[in-house]
Amino acid sequence: MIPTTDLNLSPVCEREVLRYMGIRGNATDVERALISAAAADVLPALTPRACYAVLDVATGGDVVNIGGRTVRSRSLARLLCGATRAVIFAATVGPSPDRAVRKFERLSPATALAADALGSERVEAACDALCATLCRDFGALGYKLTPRFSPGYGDLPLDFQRDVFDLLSPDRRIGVTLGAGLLMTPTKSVTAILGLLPATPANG
Amino acid sequence: MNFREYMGKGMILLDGAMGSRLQSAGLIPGEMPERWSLSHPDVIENIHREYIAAGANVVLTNTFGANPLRMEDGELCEVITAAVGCARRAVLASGREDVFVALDIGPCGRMLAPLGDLDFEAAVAAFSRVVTLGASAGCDLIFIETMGDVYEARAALLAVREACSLPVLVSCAFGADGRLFTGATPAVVATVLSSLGADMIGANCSVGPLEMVAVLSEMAKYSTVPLFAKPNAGMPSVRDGRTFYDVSAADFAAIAPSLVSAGACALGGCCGTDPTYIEALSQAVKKLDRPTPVSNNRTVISSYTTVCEIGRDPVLIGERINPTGKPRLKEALRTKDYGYLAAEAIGEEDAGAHVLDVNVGLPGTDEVELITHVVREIQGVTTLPLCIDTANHIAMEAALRLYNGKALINSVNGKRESLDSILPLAKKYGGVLICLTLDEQGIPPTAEGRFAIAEKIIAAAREHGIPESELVFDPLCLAVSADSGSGRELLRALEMFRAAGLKTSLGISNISFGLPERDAVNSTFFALALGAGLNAVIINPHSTRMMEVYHTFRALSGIDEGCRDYIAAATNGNLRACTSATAVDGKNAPAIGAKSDPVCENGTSTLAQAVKRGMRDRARELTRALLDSLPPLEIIDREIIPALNEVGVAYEKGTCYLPTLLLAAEAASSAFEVIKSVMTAAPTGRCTVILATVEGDVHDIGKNIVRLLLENYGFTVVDLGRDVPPDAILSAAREHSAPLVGLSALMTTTVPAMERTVALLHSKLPGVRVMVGGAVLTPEYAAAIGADFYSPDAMGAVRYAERVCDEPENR
Repeated sequence: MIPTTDLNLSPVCEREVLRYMGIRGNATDVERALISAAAADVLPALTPRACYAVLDVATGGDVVNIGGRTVRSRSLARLLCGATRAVIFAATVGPSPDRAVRKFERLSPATALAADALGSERVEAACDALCATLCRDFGALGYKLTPRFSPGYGDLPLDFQRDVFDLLSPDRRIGVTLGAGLLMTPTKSVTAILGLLPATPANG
Repeated sequence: MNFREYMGKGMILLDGAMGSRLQSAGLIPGEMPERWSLSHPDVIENIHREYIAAGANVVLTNTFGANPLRMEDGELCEVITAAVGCARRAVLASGREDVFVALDIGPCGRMLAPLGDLDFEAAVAAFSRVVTLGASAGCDLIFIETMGDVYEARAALLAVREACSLPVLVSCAFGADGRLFTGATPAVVATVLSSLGADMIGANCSVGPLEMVAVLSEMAKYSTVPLFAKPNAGMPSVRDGRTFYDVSAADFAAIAPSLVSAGACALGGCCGTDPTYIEALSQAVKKLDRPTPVSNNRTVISSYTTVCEIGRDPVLIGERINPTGKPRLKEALRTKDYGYLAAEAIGEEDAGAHVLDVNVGLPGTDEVELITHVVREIQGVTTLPLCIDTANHIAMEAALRLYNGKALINSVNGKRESLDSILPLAKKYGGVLICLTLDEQGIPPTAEGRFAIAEKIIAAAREHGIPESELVFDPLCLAVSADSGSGRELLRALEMFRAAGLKTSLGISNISFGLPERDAVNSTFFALALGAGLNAVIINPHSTRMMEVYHTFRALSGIDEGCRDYIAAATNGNLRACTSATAVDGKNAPAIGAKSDPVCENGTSTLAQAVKRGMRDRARELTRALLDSLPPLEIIDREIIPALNEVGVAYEKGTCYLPTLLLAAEAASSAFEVIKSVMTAAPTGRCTVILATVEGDVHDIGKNIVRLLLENYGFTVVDLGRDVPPDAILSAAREHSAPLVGLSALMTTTVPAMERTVALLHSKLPGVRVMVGGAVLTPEYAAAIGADFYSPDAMGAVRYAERVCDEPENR
C-alpha cells in the first residue's frame, strides 16, 4: 500500500465548482467573489493524499470476491468482469474544506456553500490525478483500468465501506476515518474500486 | 530496575515493525493482527525474542489496534492479556535486566469532534480501558504511537496519566509535509505533549530516517522532555502485489548519528524494518553518547496547529469575548448563540490578534457548561491559541481538559486559595499561567510589593513542579484617574520584572478608567509599557490606535527588521483596522467571507434592493439610516421580507440560484442584527421551530440554510446541530413548546434514525409536525417514514413553517 502525497491536481475548474453549488452556466462576479473568498481558506491548507492496494478479485454471477471479502453487487460484478485483480483506493484533500465550512457557516453561508463545493471539486480532481497515475503505472504492466466505482454507487452497498477500511486502513495511512454512520472524515474523501483488465487487442 | 530509572542511563533501543513481520508470517490483508496473540502466541513471542536478541531494550506488545471502539470488552481483555504475556515470556527468556514490556497503543480509528464524530471524553474513556487492562496484565510502560491528530494524542496521554502511574512515551506520525494529518507541526506536538506529562515524545511511521531528522530538530526546540525516533525503512513501493521499502538496514543505521544529534535519546524502526535493522542500529549507537537535552525555557502556548511564544515580540490577546459591557454578547450567551461568539473570534483573528481571551462569566448562567460549549465552538473556527479567562476553578478545569492545545490560563494570583486550586490544574493539563500580583491584602501600591507577591507565586509553582518559564506576571493596571502615581509605578514594576528575566502581561484598558477619550490614554500607556518590557497585552484588536502602537513599536524597537511588517501593514491599510468593519454595539463588528460588497451597476438606494442584491454592508448602512424615521417592525415588513420573498420566488422558479438566495439572506441577517441592537425587547417571534441533523449524520449545510431563512422570516429557531439523538430532539421540542420540528439527513444509513425520531415525536408529542429534508429523501420515502411534510429545498420549508404557524392552535 502506497500513501501518495505527490498528487498533481489540475487547476480548479470553475464550472465544476458552480455545478456543486447548484448553478448551471457561467459564473457572475457574485459567484466568483464567493469562490475566491472560500479558496483563500481552503486551498493553501489543502493536503491531497491517497493510498491504494492491489487485490485479487473473482466474480461469480452477482457475487464479487475481493481481497478475501465477499459482496453481492450486480453493478460491481459487471464492472469487474474479466479482471483477476483490482485496485482499491482511498483519497482525500484533508480537513481544510470542512474547517472552512465550519468557519463560514454562521455569518456567511453563501461562502460556506462555495467552500463545500470547492472541496468536492478538489477531491474529484485528486481522484482523477490518482487514476491517471494508476493508468500510467499499470498500463506499463499491460493492464487497462475500468472506471472507478464507489460504495453506495449502483447496488454496491454503502456497508462495503467497512470492508474497504479493513483492507486499506486509510486512517493510518492518510488520516481518513469512518464514523458510526459510515460517513468519512474529512468529508472530502473518496474510496473506490477499479478493475485491472489485461490489455488485449479487444480492449486496447 | 524500572523503566524510569533506566531512561536516564544511555541510548535506548526500541524494537522494529510487528505488522509487516506478521504479514510475512501469513497474516492476510484485513485480518486483525492483535488476534494472533491468541491464535499464534508462539509466532508473536518469537518476533519479540528476535528483536531482543538484536539488541532492543523495549518490546511493544501486539496491541496496536486493540481498542474498545474496535473490539468487545471480553475480547479486548483477552487480546491485551495474551499480548503482554507473549512479550513478558520473551523478556524473561532473554534473562536480561534491561528489556522492558511496553503496552502499544495506536489510534482508535475514529476522528475526534468537531472534525469527526467521537467525543473527547469518549476517546479518553476508550484509551483508559486499554491502559487499565494493560497495566493489570503487567506491562512496564505505555507506548502511544502513530498518532495523526494531536487531540487524539492528548486524549490518550490524559487517559494514561489518570489510569496509572507508569512511564509513558508518545509518538506522532508526521507526513512528508512535516505535519500531522490534522495539521499540527512538530513545534505544536512538542509543546502540547511535553506539557501534558509525557516522559518522552517522538515521531514514528510515515517517513524514513532521513526525513525524520528535521522533525526531531524542530521538536527539540520546544520539548521539555527527551525525544525518540522510530522511522519506517524509507518509502514503500508495490511490486507484484508486495510492498518493498527502499532503505536498507545499513543505510538506516547510517542515519542514526544525525537523529541523535537532532536530539533522539531512543531509536527504533517502524514499517518495513526487521531485526536486522535493530541489530544495525544497536551497533551504530554503541559509538554515540546520549544527547544532553537542551533545556528549553521558552514560554509557549499552542492551538492544535500553531504555537505562540511569549517573549521579545509582543503578543496581542484579543479581549472581545467577554460579556462585560457588551449587551449583544450577553444575549448571545444567554440564548446559547455560540455562532455569534465564533464570529467575534474570527473577527479578532482577522484584525490581527495572536491569542483569544475567552470569558463567559455571566450571572444567571452555568459557567461550566457555557465555557465547554464556547471553547469547543471557538477552537473549531480559529487556529489561534486561547486564553481561558475565569475565576471559577471548576470552569477552568473543564475548559483546560478539552482544550485542543496548550492554553494561557487567566489567571492565578497570590491568594492561598487561588494557588491551591489553579496550580494543580496547570500542572496536570499544561498551560502558561497569567499570575496576578495581588494577594489577601489586595494589590500592593509599590512595584516592590508586587514583585514580592510574584516571588511567592514562583515558590508555590516550584513546589508543584511548575518552572518559571510557565509563568507570566500581570502587575495589574490601576486607574490613573484615581491614583496619579499608578502609571509610573506600574512601569517601574514592568522594568523590575524584565530585569529579573520574568515575562509580563497587562490588561491595559483599566489605566484609563474614568477618563474621557480612553483610547488615547490606553494607546500611549501601551507604548510606554512596551518600552518597559511588556511581553503580552490584552486589548481590543479592532482599535486603530492600539494596532498603530503595536506595529510602530515593533519597527522602532528593531523587532521588525527593516520595518518590513510595518510597511506592509501601513500600505495594506491594516493600520486602520478592518476596512469593511462597521460599528454595531458601538464597537466594530466582524466582517467575514467576501470582504466587500460586489460592485453594483444601478446603485442601491433602498434597503429592499440591498437585500435582493445581497449587499451586506449596504443593507446594514441603510437599516441604520431607516431606524431614524421608521419603527423596526415596519422596516422588517416593508423592506426586508418582501425583498426575501422576491428572491425566494425567483429561486423556486429557477431564475436565480442558491448563492443569490443565500447572499440575500445574509444581507437580511445583517439588517436584522442592526435592528436587534436597538430594540430593547425582542420582537414577538412567530412560533418556534426545532432543527436538527439526525443521529449519525454530520451534514448540515442544508439545515443551516433553512435556519437562516426561517430566522429571517421571524421564526425562533432552536438549532440542535448535527448527529442529534431522537431523545434530545424530543426534549427540545417539549422544552420550547415547538409546533414544528425539521429534520435533515443526507445518507441512506442515517434515514432509519430519522424514522425513529419521527416515530418518537409523533407518539410522545401528538400535534407536533415533522418536516424532513435532505438529498437522500424523496416525497414517497418521507411519507413512508411518517413525516408530515417533505421539502426539496429551503423555501419549501419556510412556506410549510408559515402554514403550520398560522394554524389557530399554534398562534
